[in-house]
Amino acid sequence: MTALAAAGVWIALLSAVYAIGALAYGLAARKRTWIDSGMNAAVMPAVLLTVSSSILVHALVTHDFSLVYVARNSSLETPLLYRVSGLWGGQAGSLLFWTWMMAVLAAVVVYRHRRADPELMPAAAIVLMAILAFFAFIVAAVESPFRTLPFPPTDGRGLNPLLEDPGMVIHPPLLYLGYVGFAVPFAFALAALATGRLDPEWLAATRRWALLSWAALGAGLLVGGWWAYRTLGWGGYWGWDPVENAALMPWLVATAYVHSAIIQERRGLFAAWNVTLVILTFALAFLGTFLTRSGLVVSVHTFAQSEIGAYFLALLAVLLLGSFGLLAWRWDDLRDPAPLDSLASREGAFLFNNVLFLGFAFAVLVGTLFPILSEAVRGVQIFVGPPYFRQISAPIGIALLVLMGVGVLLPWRRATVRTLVQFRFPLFVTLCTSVAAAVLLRRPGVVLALAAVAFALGATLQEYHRGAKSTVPPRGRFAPDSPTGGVGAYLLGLAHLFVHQRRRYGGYLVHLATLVIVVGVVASHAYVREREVTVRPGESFRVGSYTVTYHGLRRGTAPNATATWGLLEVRGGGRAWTVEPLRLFYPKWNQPVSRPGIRSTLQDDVYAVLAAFEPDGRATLRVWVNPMVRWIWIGGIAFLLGTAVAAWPDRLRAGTRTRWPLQTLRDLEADWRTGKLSQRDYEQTVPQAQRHLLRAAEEERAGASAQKEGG
Amino acid sequence: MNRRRHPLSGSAVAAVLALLVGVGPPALGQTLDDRVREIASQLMCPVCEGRTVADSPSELAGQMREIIRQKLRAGESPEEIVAYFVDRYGPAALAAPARSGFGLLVWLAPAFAIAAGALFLFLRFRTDHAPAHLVGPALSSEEGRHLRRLLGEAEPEDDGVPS
Repeated sequence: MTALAAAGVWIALLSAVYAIGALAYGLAARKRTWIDSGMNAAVMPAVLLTVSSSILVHALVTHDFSLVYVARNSSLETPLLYRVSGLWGGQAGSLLFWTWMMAVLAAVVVYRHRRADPELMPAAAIVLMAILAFFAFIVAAVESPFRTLPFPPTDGRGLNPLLEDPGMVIHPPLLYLGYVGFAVPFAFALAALATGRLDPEWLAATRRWALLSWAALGAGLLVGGWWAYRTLGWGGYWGWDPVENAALMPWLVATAYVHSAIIQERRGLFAAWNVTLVILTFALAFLGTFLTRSGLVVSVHTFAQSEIGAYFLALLAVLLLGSFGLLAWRWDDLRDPAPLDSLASREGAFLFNNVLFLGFAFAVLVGTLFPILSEAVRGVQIFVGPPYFRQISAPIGIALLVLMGVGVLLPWRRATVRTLVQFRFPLFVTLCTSVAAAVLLRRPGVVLALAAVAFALGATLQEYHRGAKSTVPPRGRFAPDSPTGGVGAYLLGLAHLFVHQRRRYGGYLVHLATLVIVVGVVASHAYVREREVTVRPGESFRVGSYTVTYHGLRRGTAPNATATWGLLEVRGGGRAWTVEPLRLFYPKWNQPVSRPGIRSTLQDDVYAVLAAFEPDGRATLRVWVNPMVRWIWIGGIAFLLGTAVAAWPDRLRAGTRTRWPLQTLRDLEADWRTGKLSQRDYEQTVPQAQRHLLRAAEEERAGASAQKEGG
Repeated sequence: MNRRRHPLSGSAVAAVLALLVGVGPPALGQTLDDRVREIASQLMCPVCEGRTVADSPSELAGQMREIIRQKLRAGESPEEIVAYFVDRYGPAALAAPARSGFGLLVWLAPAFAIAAGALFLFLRFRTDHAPAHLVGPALSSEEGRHLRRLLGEAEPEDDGVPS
């Protein structure tokens, strides 16, 4: 079985290499049969790696300790769920999992885009297979999870206790899906450069992949924070440690791309810039994998120091040189057809958004790599920790919030004096909030942040309102002059936005979710209260507005561990709760693990950790009051819902070629109705878009008839 | 533009106010533990990987917090306390580089990058272009008929989108 699984990885590697060769030859010599053969070979690794991964999962589930990986990452007492998630609990397994995901994704992409994008797909498949071949090689030759022991132990070491948590079951798959998913836009962008098909087709083809990966990465980050908060027991959810940063950087650049792709789709501008952003995103996703798995930067997450670092760095260099080489080669073909009319426009706001997001990512990169740099240059490790990242991210975050408000208000091409009227309501909301915040809270930083949130909130709500008003009034039962008054028409108008303009208004839902998260982050950072006390049973102490009474220790057992927990009674606002911080001791790992006891409400969390205890029942407790942490998780769920709305496939009955111009016509219509496009610009652009659509329809019909004759 | 007040404005303000009241005013005055936390979060725990003294569960970090507490009680200033730990553990004890010398680089780099990016945008797109007149001829009636038919096929139901 094990030999079969190891062989599967090798054969997957060979299939990928064969696919690259066949596709490259087929493209160069214009031989259809070779291209088809290469496409078929590109699906093979998915099958083979599914078999290999299943064998490893089977070994984990059935306690096959003859495998080094199984002996190290599971034990007889590990619950079934964590035996399965042990697949990504250690280094070798998680690399196999990564490779499996990449292979499945490549197969799905080939299957879906083979007919839809026949010009781009072969070249894109070469890129996907090259990335896959690299990882398959690492798994097969360098970090194999299928190494065996001559004398299997009777029991394994078990999973790292910190990883035995539902958060760790879902966090890595989400993160990997995000990392791997960006390979798709990256592959298509390179294919567009290589084949010279530089129209936004590659963007359109990969838009949903980009959104999916971006959402998965964001969800992965949030779930990671949730896991850290519930298991690590230091009172926080985000420690700015190198591996967290490694996952944050590609997300930041991808966020810039998700925005700037809109300009290219709508205005045909900044093609070269978008290719650059996609390359950077994937390079950072790759760097993220590498930082997590190489131990280059010491961090909480780096469980293993391994020899794969050099391979990763070599591929990263090849990847960057190759991509930017292609980009430079095509640079002249990527010139913008029309100049930007004015910076005071929707396009301009998007560009500033890009500057800020890239600047943010750059700051995180500098902070993450600086310790290595200082060690190399000065011979001392200078640490760059949370204080730095907090002080850098606060002003950038506030600027982004203001831009979020400004961006949704500005029209395409140029803002005029008439645009300023739109700022009335958001500014009014900002003023009210600032005054209230200044009186109640008095902390300048918090007041500033809330004012920026209020501005973005006012602007976004106003956009929904204007959108709902701008749709064509319905006839019949919900007509504006019907007995229901304008209410029915208004609600129908709102619903219309989520059906026919769901990309934009789903995107605004994501904006609103971000505001909820920001409020949670600001409140929990600015108003955290903490006490650290050593108490005897029966003693009480105060934290923030709560009184905590310690009622002694309880003991019990958990899987693989002995457990001790403190019994705390928390009183506040006329109510009482029981909170039980837990301390687990795992003999096999020789390390105690603290699990916090948390009482969570919308207003605040009481977060207690049992730091130490004495035989006589005395306990050292750390208790935090973290305001509004729950808002972050709620905002996170809303964030995903908004992304789902924006990425939901539309029901346009159109072929692959006409879908795009049809959507463009619709967007122009909606823009003009909500004042995002001046009358003159609208009249100028509509005939072009209509012609585009007619041309596409012609092409589609020609293609269909050709296929009929050929088939 | 309509001169009426937005129907949303009242409710939005109410919502914002509710949000603020929900947070509630902070407890006045800092406790000793809050001041300990402020200083501890500026220091790196020497034995654990990548955690500040404030966030670390390790025993040593606990002892360091205790030292900070005693020094605060003795009336030492936060700067003095931080300097004491830097003396003992070297510059690696600081959670963020000092804003001087080599460490200044890391503080200036992001600001410089963002300023450069913004400046580039201003210089590159400073000229306010007159809108290019790209008006193509209007569609012929034949093309128009064709287009309406296409749009009719594409829309799954009559949703009031004019064509």
